[in-house]
Amino acid sequence: MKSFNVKRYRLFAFIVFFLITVFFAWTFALAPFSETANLLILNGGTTLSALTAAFILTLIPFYYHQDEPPRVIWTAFAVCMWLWTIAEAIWGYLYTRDGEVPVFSSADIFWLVDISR
Amino acid sequence: MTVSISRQFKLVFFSQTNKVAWAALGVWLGGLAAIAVILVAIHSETPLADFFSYFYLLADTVVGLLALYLVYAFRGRALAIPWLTISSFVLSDFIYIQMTETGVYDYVMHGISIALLADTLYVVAYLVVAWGCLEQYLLLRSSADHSQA
Repeated sequence: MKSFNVKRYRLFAFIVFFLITVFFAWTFALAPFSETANLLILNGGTTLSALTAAFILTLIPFYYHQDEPPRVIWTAFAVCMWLWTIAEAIWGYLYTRDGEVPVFSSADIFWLVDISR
Repeated sequence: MTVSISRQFKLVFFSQTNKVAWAALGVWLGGLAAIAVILVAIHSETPLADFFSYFYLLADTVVGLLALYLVYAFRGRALAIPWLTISSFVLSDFIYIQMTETGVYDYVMHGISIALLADTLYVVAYLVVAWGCLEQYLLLRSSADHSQA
């Protein structure tokens, strides 16, 4: 039976996370691409990192049975992270399109629901 | 987030009643009332903008402190890791909001833009949460594999 290698997963995640961070900081500092591309990468980087957390969180509840209390905790946590991801994506889209985001935007609805629910 | 944290508290304290849910509701209503009092007291001319700046700071503080308490309740062991990463995330969000509110975000120190540090910190904070959840996933998956072997 093929054994599950925890170290390999950790190493892979570390390399991916490191590359996302370095690419984000490099693009922010030097703006090497066109203005639109830079904005897409910077706002996309934030959304991608939130999406990564949301995706991993979504896998966790499946390891619990329906009647186990931790399933509700992790499901709520996963929903929360998806709402955060949607909010980041909307904020990034508005900023890329308009160059600024109003005090109250549709992204705030997701942040508010996310925190309070 | 409220559901997740309150359910975790209920589990930690072996509570069979709805005391934790009522406490969570009380914290939110109390927080909103406190913000309303502050807005009236400072005669806010931009109530919507001020509401959000206070609300996010309050929410980050409450979530961060409760998550830290869960880290303490789990004695820093494997189950504490996701909560530790959540508290570090809300701390970075708190710092980010403070920087943008106070104008520090636009400073450049010794050639290094504060905005660069703040935005990178924000991305790293999400990835730290992802790392914490990955640890939880790996823990559950390796336990499941061991029980099947």
